[in-house]
Amino acid sequence: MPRLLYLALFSLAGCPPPPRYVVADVYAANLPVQDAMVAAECGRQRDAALRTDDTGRVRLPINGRVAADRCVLTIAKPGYRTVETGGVHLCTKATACPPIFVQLFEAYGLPPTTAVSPHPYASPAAEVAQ
Amino acid sequence: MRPAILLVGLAACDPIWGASVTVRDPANRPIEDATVAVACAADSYVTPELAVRSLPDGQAQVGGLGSQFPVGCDVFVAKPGYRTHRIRYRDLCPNGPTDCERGFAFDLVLEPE
Repeated sequence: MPRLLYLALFSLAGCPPPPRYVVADVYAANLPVQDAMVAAECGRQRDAALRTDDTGRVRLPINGRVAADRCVLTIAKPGYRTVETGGVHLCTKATACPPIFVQLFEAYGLPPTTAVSPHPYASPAAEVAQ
Repeated sequence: MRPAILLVGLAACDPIWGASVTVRDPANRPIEDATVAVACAADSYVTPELAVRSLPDGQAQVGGLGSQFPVGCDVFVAKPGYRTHRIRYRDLCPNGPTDCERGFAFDLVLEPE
């Protein structure tokens, strides 16, 4: 029996930690912003990114052992100023996670341009901020 | 021994998809620390670990294992102070996933706001 217990403990020690979540609500002029990119960069080689839904919300799963104070959220959408913010909290349950409210402001300045150079595989058009 | 070699050989054949991006400013200087992401819809089942930062030479590569570019996912390149680029999936793969490249390369110029 103790052998089984040790075996179970040893096996569990090898399991990755459960994912944690960052929840963000993205608004502009008090209206939700759909399809904004929200990326959470937590000092790892690859970080998480998703687009907001029609309520402006995104629930980003963060895998691995990362400290919340190392996470920076980047929120961007063409036509708006890109925002980077710290102060991220990570939750173990996405549905019970208090969201971070992000307010985007419209970008003003140069007229829109398309600045994609030729590349070897395909030639998609790029959408640039208004 | 032979099965192990076979396994290693087969693993090496895993298909990959990806986007290779070079980010520069209008003066042709590389932009470091821009966020380059393949951002899928919030309700997608694609792994969301698809964001990286550009290196000092302005290069960034994001991708993963798979036989096709993630369906419905857009490429974003963003940095505070610059205008965001979004390259939509429908522009990357206008004929849908069955007739789409797996690898893309972009040489982007980010305009200051």
